[in-house]
Amino acid sequence: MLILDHVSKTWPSGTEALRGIDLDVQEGEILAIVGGSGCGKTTLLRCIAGLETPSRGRVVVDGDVIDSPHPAVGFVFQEPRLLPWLTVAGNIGFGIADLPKAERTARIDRMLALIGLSGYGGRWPKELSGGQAQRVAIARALIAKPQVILFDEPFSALDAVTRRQLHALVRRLRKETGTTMIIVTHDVDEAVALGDRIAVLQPHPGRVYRLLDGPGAKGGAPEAVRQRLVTALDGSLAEGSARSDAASSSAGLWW
Amino acid sequence: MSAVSETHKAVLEARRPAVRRRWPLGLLLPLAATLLYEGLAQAGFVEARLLPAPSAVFAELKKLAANGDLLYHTTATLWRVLSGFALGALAGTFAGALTGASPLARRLLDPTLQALRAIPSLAWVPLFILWLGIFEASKVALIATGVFFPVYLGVMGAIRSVDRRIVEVGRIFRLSRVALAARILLPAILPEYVIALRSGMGLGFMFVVAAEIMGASEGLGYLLVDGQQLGKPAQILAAIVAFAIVGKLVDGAMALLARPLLAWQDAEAANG
Repeated sequence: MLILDHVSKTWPSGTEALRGIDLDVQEGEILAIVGGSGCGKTTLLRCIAGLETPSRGRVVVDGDVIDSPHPAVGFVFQEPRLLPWLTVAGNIGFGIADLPKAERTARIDRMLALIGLSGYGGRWPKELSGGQAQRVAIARALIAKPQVILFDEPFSALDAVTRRQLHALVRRLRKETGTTMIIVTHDVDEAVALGDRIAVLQPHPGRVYRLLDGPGAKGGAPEAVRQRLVTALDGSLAEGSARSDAASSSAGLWW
Repeated sequence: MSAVSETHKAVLEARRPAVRRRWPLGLLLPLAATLLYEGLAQAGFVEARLLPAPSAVFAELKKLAANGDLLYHTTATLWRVLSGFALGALAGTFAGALTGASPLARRLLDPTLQALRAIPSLAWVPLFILWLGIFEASKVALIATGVFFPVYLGVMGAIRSVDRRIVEVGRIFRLSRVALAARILLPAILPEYVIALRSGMGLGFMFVVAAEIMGASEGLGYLLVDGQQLGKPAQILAAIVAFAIVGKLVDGAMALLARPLLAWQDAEAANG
């Protein structure tokens, strides 16, 4: 379904953000990507979305190589990024403006019902709470029926109760729409709550450190998965700082 | 009722500007000042020969309106302002959009335009008269010059301050450059653009006075000069009052026209 084939990204400044990421995401799967700050989680997601081009390697969705934003890939940003001059209905329908009006309105209504905001179509974004705004952002990504939706730490600014409600919403949306999802997070509990599999990235440069199974037949109880994830994260951070130190002392030789 | 029509109705409902019944508080100060001034004039504290009482000014306005002079001169002034505004706003919008969207164009054009902005616009008058003659063209050019700069600065600033994260939403949905401009950039800059246009129109009225004072046989500015030369202070004040009323009406009309497009800001204000 989604293949990351040795994806690497080096910025023009020479900073290596990602090195050789290989991942294969199955249809309908939720893959959580976890890692410390600066491990390239967001850069990886932006490469998958076609917002950045990998320096080496390729991203393939359903046979298509992604080198620019693609209709098969939706994106939910860290902030809702709703357009303030459009109503909730207008924001949700933003990506399907070319559809006939009746079909567009019907789809918007279905989405509003799906995210539990029926009757909110005429409101302005400013009139929504943070959780409601993020629900609208999810509906906006989902309405165009992408095969993959990418979430870039979408719930990090929300309170714990709202976050839990949105986790339930994401699981329900996956069940009802069968959409493949990749969720970047730095929250261990979120990764355990949502991920069928969890990729742990290590920094300097960003690489896959471990790929863990989420809770279930393979992964076991959530607590056990959580424990393994914490251990893997600790290991990835230790490895990352060791690499960073080595790079610093190696650079120091030149001076 | 179906869910479809319910949503549609809700959208329409939200787009309808809220009708506010508020007492026009802004009238209080000019009304009080007028009454005070009238009282002082009637009591003989003000020399009517130099500063006629409001009643005398309104009598003059009434006389000008009755003999058709007020409409004639107001129309002439309005025509000049609107022509100059159209030219200045168009050029300002184009130049502002160019320098706002393209760093290269900004580096190339903006320093020169900023230098030109620093020149007092009245300094252009001799040149405009030399190039375009003493009739309408030079007056319209002067007004257009006055309108150009606030519109240019407003559009450039608005485009530069558009949140790039919102532009990225358009990129994710694969909008073409034209669609991106129409569906993201234009609505995003609209509030600041309306303010820039209104500022431009305000300057247009300032410059029409200068243009008409420098030589005209019609227009409210002509009434000012005529009143000065013939020693008719009531006519001068009547022309000033007419300027204030026409300027306010035009500004109000612009705000009213823009209101449906900025209804979402009303929602923000209502919330805040």
